[in-house]
Amino acid sequence: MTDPGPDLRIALYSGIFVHHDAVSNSLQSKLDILESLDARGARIDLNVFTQASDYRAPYIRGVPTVAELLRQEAFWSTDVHIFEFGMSYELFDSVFVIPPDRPIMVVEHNTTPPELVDDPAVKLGCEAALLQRHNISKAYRVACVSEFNLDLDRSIGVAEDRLRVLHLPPAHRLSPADRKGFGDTQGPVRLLYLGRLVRAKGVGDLLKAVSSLWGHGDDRFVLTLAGNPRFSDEAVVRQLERCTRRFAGLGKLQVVSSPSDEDIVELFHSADVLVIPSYHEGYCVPVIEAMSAGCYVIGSDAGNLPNIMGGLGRVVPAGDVFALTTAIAELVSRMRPASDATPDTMSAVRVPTDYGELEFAEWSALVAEHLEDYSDTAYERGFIRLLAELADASLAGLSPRLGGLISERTRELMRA
Amino acid sequence: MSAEPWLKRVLRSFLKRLFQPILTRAYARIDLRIEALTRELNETVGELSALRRDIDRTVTTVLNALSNQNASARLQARALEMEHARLAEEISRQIELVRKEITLEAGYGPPVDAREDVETNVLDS
Repeated sequence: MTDPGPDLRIALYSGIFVHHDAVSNSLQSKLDILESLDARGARIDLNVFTQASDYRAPYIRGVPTVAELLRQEAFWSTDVHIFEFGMSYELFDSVFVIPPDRPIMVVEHNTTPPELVDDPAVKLGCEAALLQRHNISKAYRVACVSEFNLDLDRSIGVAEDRLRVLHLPPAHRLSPADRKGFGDTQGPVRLLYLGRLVRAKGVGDLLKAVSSLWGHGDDRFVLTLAGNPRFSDEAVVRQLERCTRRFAGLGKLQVVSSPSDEDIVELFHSADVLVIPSYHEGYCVPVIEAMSAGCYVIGSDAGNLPNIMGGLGRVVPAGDVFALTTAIAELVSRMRPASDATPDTMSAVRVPTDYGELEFAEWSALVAEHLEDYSDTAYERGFIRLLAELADASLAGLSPRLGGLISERTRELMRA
Repeated sequence: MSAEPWLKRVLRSFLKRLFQPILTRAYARIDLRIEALTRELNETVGELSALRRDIDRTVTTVLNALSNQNASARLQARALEMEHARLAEEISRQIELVRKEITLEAGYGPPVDAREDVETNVLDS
């Protein structure tokens, strides 16, 4: 008897596929789902094509150039092609030679506007991405990781019927733990910033805001900045060093360099407030992770931040240091109203939101409801629905076995 | 029946003396030929590698050019769409003005603000 072959051959693409990278995590989430379908009996032939990776698996193929990709038999036999896209990368140009009966899906992660980037090489990459984004016109489906990215792709003329939203799930397992009230931790209020130390993230504004408050004698809060110095702007690092010299000795400022996954979980669980004063955000996973851990969020009104915060945090205008300083000061005053506050009085502290001031329990319930849209379950449901659409449109078609497994899994996820 | 050992030795020595120079020359010619073929093969491999590099560069360049042309064409199409929409709006506005003007000439008494619109536009033009 001859081997009937796989139900579907899928190729996933990313410029880089490395640890601690949001775009790579997006690809990894898809791999996990596809492998789980495979374990349930679907016969899926998987390949990951990437220009650089620190992951090791037999199906991960390091392909430095598009010419090398075109020499791979696995490329030509693929039924469905899924490209992650944020920064420009050579392999993404292969969309022009993929046969029309092999549907393409592009996952839109957005690109930092070049005017916000100081590093010349990164700036060039961002400029190239603005042009390369039009390759999306070859896609059968475009999965935007945020509502903000939907608008970006509409602006370049992507047809509405091809657009979908597929929110990324959190990269770390977090829970609100045993928070009983708003900022009910002992000692000073703990602010956290997590991300690249670059101008586009508004790190400079945050340092100005906290320096101003500490300079005026406010010692009711501390700040932890966590990020990878490898992806940082020199000017921001210098500003941070100045700030560290002034305040780190007083225990007000802590810098965590290249935190591990365990460190990140611990940082979220021990923080009261996440501050993200960015000038641009295509999605912003840390907001979802912070909310999952029960943290309040102060964010700017740039990019996707207002969407992902869901009206349940405090939004300030991007680049407005005074508004950011005021928001931090107000929140700290609310969380540490008086030195004689007791646990009972703390549990009565109300949480400021776009829906008015809420009881902590009410706010927690709304946060949990908001996070359902950003959960692993919602992501898997959305992705396998897209997978069925792509398979159906491919030359191979949606096999009864794969179709049945997708339906079965969808029902399970709906019940979850 | 086997030959005597001494006879074997003599025969071997005789044959060696007879054929050794011929074999040596033949081996030398074969060595030269192998050397020439190896050289040719190396040259061919080099040429093929260069050709492959050229093809790779061409593929990359062509696909990159396709990407840029696609972006440029789509941007132009977008600009044309917007220009088309602007012109359509302008034409509708002009038709409306003419309609009002005709209504005015026919003496049906348009609203005062519409008459002012017509006058303003006439003055502007």
